[in-house]
Amino acid sequence: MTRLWIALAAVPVVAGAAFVRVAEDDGATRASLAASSASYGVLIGNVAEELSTSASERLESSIKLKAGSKKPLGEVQLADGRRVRLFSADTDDSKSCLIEDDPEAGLGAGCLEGGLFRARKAAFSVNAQGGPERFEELYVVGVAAPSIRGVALVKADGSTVALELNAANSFLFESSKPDLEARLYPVGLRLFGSNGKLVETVTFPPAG
Amino acid sequence: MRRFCTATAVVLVAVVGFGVGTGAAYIEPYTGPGEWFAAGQGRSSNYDWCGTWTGNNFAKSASAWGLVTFITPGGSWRYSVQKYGNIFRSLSDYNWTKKLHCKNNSASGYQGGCWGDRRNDGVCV
Repeated sequence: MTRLWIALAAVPVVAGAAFVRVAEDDGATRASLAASSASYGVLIGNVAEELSTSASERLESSIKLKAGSKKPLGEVQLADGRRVRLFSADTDDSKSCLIEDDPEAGLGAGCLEGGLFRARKAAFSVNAQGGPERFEELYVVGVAAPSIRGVALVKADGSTVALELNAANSFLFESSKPDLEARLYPVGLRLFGSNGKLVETVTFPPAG
Repeated sequence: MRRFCTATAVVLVAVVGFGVGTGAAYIEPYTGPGEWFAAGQGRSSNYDWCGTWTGNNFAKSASAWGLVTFITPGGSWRYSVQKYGNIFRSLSDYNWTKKLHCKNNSASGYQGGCWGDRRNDGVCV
């Protein structure tokens, strides 16, 4: 009888060990497939892995973060007091990512081939709550290339707002309640060099 | 007595084994690979009535602008993010009902693919 109990009790232990082994083997595969649009066509459903406990761990697994490449870019504070932390990081497949850690929303990352500033001299994201008709909150957060000394945000009516840059060249713009009610959304960034000369204008569609 | 012990042991193994087998995180595409997204076009997943979607991702080129968001059964968008390049969004709190949505909200079409991060704690059938 004792043998029976021992044998039966061993089953879940063996199963658990096997499960963890599958998770270890498939973790890299999963991250590789997830981070690569080129290999996206491969079946990636139902790949078991050990549960990650935090949004940070889940994100870092998804983007296939290169060890030791994560660098802080400071933090910005939203009108409601939330502090959004910014990081840059590289991936094993040669992409560079801007990571935003919003304590309410979770973590977001935008990953670009060949570096954050290869295509344009600022990497950024537009984050929103509510919508798609009307937004309760909307903010633009990003980082400018080291050669950029000034950033201005362009609204849909053509007006501009000069943004403050921190020591890491990160910036934040948050839409006011009247702007949100009027659907006056951000549509671009103007980037200025050290002599105050306009270097680049980056445009993007209104939110929604 | 022997039958009782055997039955109890089988139930024990089944219960513990179930917990081991279903406590899994995985990814699940909700579009085809390299699907064409015309200007303004979006795709959605099914709703997770057990709150199992934990993240939303959109693979596309560095020149492609798009968004990912989480849509409540009432149709409201939550935690939307728009960017160039590949977009990853991992939720802090995912225990609520939602479907995933990715959209090309730019003026020109491009190829891309969307997938969700999913978690099955085995507590919802």
